[in-house]
Amino acid sequence: MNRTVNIIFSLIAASVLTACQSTQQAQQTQTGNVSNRASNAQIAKSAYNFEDQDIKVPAFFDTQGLANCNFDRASEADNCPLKKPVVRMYFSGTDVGGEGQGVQALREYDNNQLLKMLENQFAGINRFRIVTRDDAVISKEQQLQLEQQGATNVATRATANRVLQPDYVVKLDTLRTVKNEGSITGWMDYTLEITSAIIDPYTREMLAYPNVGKIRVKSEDVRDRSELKYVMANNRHVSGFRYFDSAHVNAVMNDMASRGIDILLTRMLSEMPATAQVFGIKGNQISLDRGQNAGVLPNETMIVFQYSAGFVEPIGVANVNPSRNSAMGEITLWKDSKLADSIAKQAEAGVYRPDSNTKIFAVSVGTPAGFLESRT
Amino acid sequence: MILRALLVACSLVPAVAEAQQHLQISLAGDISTQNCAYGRGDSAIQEAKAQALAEISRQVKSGSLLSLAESQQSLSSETISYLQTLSSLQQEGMDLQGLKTDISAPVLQGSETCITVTLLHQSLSQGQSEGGWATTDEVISVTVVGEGWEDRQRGVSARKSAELDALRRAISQVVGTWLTEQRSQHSNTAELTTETTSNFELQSFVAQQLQTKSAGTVKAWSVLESQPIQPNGMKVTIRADVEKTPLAVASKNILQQIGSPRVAVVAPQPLADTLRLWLSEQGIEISSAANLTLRASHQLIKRSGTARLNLSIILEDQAGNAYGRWQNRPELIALPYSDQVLRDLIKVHLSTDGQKKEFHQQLNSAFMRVVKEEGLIHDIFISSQYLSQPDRLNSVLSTMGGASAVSVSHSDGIYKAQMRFTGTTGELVAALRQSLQPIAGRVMPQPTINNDFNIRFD
Repeated sequence: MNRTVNIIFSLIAASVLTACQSTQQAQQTQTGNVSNRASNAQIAKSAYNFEDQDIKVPAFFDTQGLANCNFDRASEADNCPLKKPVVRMYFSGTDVGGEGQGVQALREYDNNQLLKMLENQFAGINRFRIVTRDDAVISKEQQLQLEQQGATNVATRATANRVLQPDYVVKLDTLRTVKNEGSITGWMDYTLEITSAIIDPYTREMLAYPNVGKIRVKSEDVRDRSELKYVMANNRHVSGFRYFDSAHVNAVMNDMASRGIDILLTRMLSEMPATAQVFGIKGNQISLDRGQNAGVLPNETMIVFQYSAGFVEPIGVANVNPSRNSAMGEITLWKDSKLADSIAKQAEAGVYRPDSNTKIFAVSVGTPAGFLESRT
Repeated sequence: MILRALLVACSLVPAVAEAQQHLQISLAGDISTQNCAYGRGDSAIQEAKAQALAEISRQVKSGSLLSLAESQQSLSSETISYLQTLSSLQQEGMDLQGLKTDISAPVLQGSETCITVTLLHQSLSQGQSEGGWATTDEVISVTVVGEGWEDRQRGVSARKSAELDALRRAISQVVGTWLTEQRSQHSNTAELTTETTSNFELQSFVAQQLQTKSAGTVKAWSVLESQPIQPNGMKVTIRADVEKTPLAVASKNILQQIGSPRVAVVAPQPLADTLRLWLSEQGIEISSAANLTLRASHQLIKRSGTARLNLSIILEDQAGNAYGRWQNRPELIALPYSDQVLRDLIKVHLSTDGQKKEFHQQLNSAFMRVVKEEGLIHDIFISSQYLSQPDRLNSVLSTMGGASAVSVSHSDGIYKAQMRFTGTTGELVAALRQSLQPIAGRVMPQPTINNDFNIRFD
C-alpha cells in the first residue's frame, strides 16, 4: 500500500517538475552589435523593378486630405498637409580637443559655408520653409535695389514682404575626429558624425520627429586611403598628404560633410514621405491632388493604397511625376488582390473614382531612385 | 470660299449646342453651370466663378438661354418671365457680379479647381441710393435721442442737459455725413480723416468743438418725445434742422486747425533735412518759432556687417509737454554697413507707406490733443506802461472766451502772460484788445505779431 502511495507521490512530483520546466523565459529581444561603420544612403527601388511582395504601405503615411487648405502659402491652415513649418538652420561644430598630428588643421575647419549648402539642399526637397541666414547676400541685394529702384519701391516691398518668422530651428551638430596610423609611412583617418535636432526656440522643446538618427562619414568614404598617405622622416613630413595644411584638410572634410548632408536628405525623405490623394484612375494612369507643392519629386516611387475604416490595403505601385500642384503617375504593377483586380477592371473601362466612403492615397517609399545622381 | 464659309458655319453649330448643355435651369429658375480654373485656392475659385458668370451672362444676352428655357416644358410661366426680365436687363448692361449667387464646394481635377456656380432666382429691382449730404436742401433734418441729468451746481435742469446732449448728437451725426462726403470728394481731407485713429473719434471731436465755439449750426429743433429716467434724469427725442453751410465752414476750420499745424524740427543731421522735406511734402509747415517741436533722434544698430535704423520722434510744446511719440520699425530693412548707410536707411524708412501713415496718424492725434486741451500755448508780452491795473491782468485774461491755463510773470518792465487759446491768432488779438481795455492805462497800440504764438504790445 505504502509503495503504491510512494509511486503516486513520485509521479505527482515528476509532473510538477515537468510543468515547471515548460514555463521558460520569453525571448523578445536579442543582442545587437553597436557598430561604428560609415552610414549609407537608402533610396527607393524604381517602381518598374517592384515585385508583388514588395507592394506594402511604408511607415509615416498620412491620410489627411486638402479639404482644410486655403492654398495661401503665407497663411495656410494648421490642419492642411501643405502647411510646412518655417525653419532656420544652424550648423554647429564642436571644437576639436587635444593635440596631435593634424589636429590643428582640423580645428581650423570652418563649417559656415556648409550651412549655405545645407540650406540650399533642404529647400529643394520642400519639407520645410527655410529662412536663410545669408545676411551678406540679402543686404547686398537690398542695397543694389535701393540704388536701382529707389527708396519708395524698396520700402513698399519691404513692408509687404516681411521676413518669415521661424517656427523651429533645425540644428546640425557635428563631431570631427582624426587619428593617424603607421609610422614612417602613415595615413590620416578622419571621421565626421552628424546628428540633427528640430527645436522650438520658445519652449526649447526638441521634437521627436523627424528622427534622422546619427550619420557617420569616414574619410575612406570620400578618398582612397592612398590619397591620405604621407611619409615622415626625422619626425618631419617629407611627402604625401599635407595633413597639417588646413586647405587640404578642408577639402577632405568638405567632401565628407557633403556626403553626410546627402545621406541626411535621403533619410529626411524617408521620414517625411510625400503623400497625395488619388482623384481617379484611368487604365494604369493615376491623377493625384498634390504635386511639387507637397514635395513630390520626379520619378517618385509611390505605393497606392486604399484607406477605409482605419485599415490600409495596398493596390499597386506607381511611378509618379509632379506638376506644380498636382501629379500624374503610372501604376507599374497592380497588387495581386481582389480589391486591386476590381479597381483595375473599373479603371480599364473608364475613369475609376473612389466613392465617398473610401479614399485612395499614394505614399512615397523614400528618396526617388535617380535623386542621388541628379540632385547631389 | 463658299465651301470654307460652310465649313466654319458647320463647326459653329455644335459649339452652340454644347454651350447650351453647360447651363442648367432648375424648376425654381436658378441657372447653374460648372467651370474650372487653373490653380488652387481662392484665386482659382474666383476666376472660375467669374468665368462661369461671364458664360451665363453671354448666354442670357444672346437669348440662347431663353430658347433653352422655352424648350423645357416643365418650367412655369413665372420662371420664363423672370428669365425674360433678366435677359432684357442684361442687354441694358446690368452686371451679374452684383447678383446673388451660390457656389458649390470646390472639386479638384488635376491642376484645376472646379466649382458649380448657381445664379439664384431673385428679385431684379434695383435699390435706390439713400439721400445724404449731396441733396440740394440747405438744411438736413435728423432725429436723435439725448439723455441728461440734473446738475444743481451749475443750475442746469435734466431737460436742458438732455436737450444739449441731443443737439450735440444731431451735430455729430451731420458732421459724420459731411466727413464721409469730404472723404469721397477731396483727397486732402480724405487723408486726414482716414488717417486719424478713429473716424468716429474725429466726428465727435469736431461736433464737440462746434458746439463750444458757436451754436449757429442748428436752425430749428423741436422735442418729439420726452420721458424721465430715474433718478433725476431725462431722455428726449428731438428733430433738429442743421444748416449745411455754416457747419461745413466751421468743420473745415477745425480740420485745418488739426491738419496743418506748424512745427519746429530738432534733429541731428542728416535726419533733420530729410525730416523737414518729408514734413513739407505732408503739408505740415515748418517754422523755427512754432510752438510745437518735433524732437527726433536716430541710432544705427550694427550686426555682422549690416546696419539697421532705430528712429524715434517725440512731439512736444515749448513747455516740454509731450503730445505724441512715433517709433519706426527697425526690423524692416538691413543694409550693408557703409558711410552712406544712415542716409539710405532714413530714406527707406521715411518712404514706407505704412510707417508714413503711422507717423501722420501720430501727428494728427497729437495735434488733436493740442486742440482738445484748449489750444496751444501763446505768449503775450505787454509793456507795463499800457497797464494801469497789472494785478488784474491774470483774472481778466482768465475770463476771456477760449482762454485757459493763464500764468503771468513780470521782468524789465514787460508783463509776460502765458495762456492756452483755442482760436486763431487774429481772434486772440481782437479778444485781447477788447478785454484789456478796462485795465489799460491808455489806448492799446496795434500789437506786433512775431509768430502765431508770440504777441507783443510794446
